[in-house]
Amino acid sequence: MGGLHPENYFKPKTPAEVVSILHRYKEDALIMGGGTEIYELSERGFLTSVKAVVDLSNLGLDKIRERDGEVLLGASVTLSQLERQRELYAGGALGCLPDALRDLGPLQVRNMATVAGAVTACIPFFDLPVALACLNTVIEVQGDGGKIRRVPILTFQRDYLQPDLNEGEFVAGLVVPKQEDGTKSAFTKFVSNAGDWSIVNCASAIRVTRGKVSSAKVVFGAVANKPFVAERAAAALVGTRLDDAALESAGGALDEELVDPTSDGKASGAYRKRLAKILLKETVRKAASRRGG
Amino acid sequence: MGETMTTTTMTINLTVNGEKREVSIEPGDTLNFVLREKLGLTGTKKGCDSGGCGACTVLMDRKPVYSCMLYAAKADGSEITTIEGLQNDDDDDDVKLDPVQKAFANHYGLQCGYCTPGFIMLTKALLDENPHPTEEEVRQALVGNLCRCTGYTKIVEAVMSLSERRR
Repeated sequence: MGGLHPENYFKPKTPAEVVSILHRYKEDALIMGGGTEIYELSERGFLTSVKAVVDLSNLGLDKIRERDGEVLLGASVTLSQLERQRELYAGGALGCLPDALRDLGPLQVRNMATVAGAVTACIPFFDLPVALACLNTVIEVQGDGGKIRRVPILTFQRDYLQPDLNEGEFVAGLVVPKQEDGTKSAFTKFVSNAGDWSIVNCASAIRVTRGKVSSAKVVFGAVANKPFVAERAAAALVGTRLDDAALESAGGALDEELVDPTSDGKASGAYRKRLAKILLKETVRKAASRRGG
Repeated sequence: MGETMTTTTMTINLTVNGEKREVSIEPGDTLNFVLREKLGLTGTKKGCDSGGCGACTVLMDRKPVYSCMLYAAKADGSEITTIEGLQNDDDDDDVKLDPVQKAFANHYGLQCGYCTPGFIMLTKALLDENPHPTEEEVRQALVGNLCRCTGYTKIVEAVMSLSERRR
């Protein structure tokens, strides 16, 4: 039997209340953002033991703020809300975010699903965590006594469905740090149809100084249980002018480091590897040619 | 499963199609269940029940959402608009239909009709935000609604007729 049948549904108004409920119900508590992924998991029968839902939507954490170039996202900020922040994307540094958000499922889902939820779910084929990882996003985990623990997204996402949250902790927000001047980022993905999950997705942030790449980051999703940072491929791009030979050599480096990509009913590991090489070139070119800044 | 389940009920307040409703629900009930089974508003359909077909689309605080995957407790305090809440805005017609409904009828934007309430609610929200969408914008906006009869051409024509009319 599937579904969600909690005894209680809480909408606490303060972080202290959240923490207290989480301690009271321990592993039988479920933290809810927009609830869309929770619904899918519950219908598959994964959440039948949940006794208490802790809905974060009354905490007033639905704000997006900018502070010295950092972007602070409250836990209840929805995907649509973030997508609409056009002024944030004008410089091109955060370009991978609207790229990822625009085609991220139907509007009806983007109006409900939260950015924090998309990260906390730890689903390896989601798009947004890959873009956020490319920007070195930090997760703000709140616990006892209002203490905040700041965890880089790649550490926070430990494994499939396993966020770095201890009992009594919840995600209060995310911080997208200020990117180095001149950085441009982009996101691309390969899907079998508009409503499906990525078979492979890729985000890249590139900084070009006097015609040459001075720093590069490349992250892939859906190839492992958490976002995969292609360090060698990125290193192969640094110092180049992003010509065909440079991209070819980055592809070769990716071949070496992406040893055993996910193989499942949708795509074999070998197929994902080929796709990853194609997306690497597309994404890097898209980032580098992005205007703004 | 023979085990007994502790069921708690809770009360939520919704404004549905302009009318205040107090509803007793179980914490795991979805908005779709509440609308259809508790309030008798069966115009909102239940299709895939997993957030993909769009037949269950309603507006929550004027934004389109999938009612099938929205927990009713989450909707507490919000304004919900369903297909039953659409009103005619001109008086020269016997049938009280919203302009979006008329456009779908006039352009044959439906066949079996099951997906239609969802398409119409999404179209309402789209035109509210963007009164003159391009065809590409319309197709992009409708990505979360499936129709297995029309092949979409007539649906897009219906929506574009409203975009052009309002231009």
